[in-house]
Amino acid sequence: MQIAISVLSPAAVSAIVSSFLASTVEIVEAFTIVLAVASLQGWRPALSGALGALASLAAMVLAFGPALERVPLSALQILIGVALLLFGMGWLRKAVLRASGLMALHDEDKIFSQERSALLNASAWAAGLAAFKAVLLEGLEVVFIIIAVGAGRGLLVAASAGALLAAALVLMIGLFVRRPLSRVPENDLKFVVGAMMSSFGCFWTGEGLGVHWPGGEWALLGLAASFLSFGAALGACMRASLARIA
Amino acid sequence: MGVLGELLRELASMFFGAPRLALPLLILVAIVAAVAGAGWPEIAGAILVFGCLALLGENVFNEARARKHSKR
Repeated sequence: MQIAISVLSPAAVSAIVSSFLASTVEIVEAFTIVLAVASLQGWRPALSGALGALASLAAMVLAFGPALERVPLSALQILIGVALLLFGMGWLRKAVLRASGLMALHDEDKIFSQERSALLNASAWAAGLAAFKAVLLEGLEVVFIIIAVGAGRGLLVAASAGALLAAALVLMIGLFVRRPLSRVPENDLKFVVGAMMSSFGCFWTGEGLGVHWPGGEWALLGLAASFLSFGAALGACMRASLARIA
Repeated sequence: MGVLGELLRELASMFFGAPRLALPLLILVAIVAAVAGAGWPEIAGAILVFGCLALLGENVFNEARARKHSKR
């Protein structure tokens, strides 16, 4: 009963949703590289590299995860809150710039072609290493998101569930279509995730510093809505202003 | 060293990919900490929220202005 209540809390729902959306973005990016390796060198080096990276990530989590338990809660909230603010605001900024046309949109098809060209004359070992690096680097962001969203508040299971769901969904669709998942609305996802991560960052930094948010955890939804609506308005305003100049 | 170097670079870019936004954000958090420490947690919370939104707006406007000037 207690688990059901905690799963339904606004923080748990936000943790699952933000972890799911953010992980989708990262896993789609890693999948593009692994697919490029597989299309040139076969699935063996691609999967070896990807599985090696997943094992390295698991080792990192096992090595550093328990250390987080020893950090006092308010220090952990400030540390993770500030990290989430920096990470989330960075994503939100990029999403606004892309939505307004100030920055080129992320193009999975283009990245797939570039990666294939780069690996054209590579050995199976080098191709496997490329898959390893892609999964390790994107996976590192997923691990950060899970820890940042879940640590210190008993939401690690909720955040991990969101990420696992994203991995299952991307891999299922990816293995079925066997093409880069360029139709995933990467920038829209980044917009929503950036707003959610920023709201988590604001909330936890504030809590760590002694701020009592009105409505408790429900304030998270208000913060997310504020970041999202401000970002969307900013993007629309910049797009209109650029159109006037052109 | 290659993979480790890339890993560290990726880690740094996760948080400081946009230094003109990251640095002011850190300064904002320091100000918020000072205000909360002085016994005004509600004001500190408001400064944090509106400060973040203001910094985002300022950063995007500056980026747009810089690109406009570079096009001239």
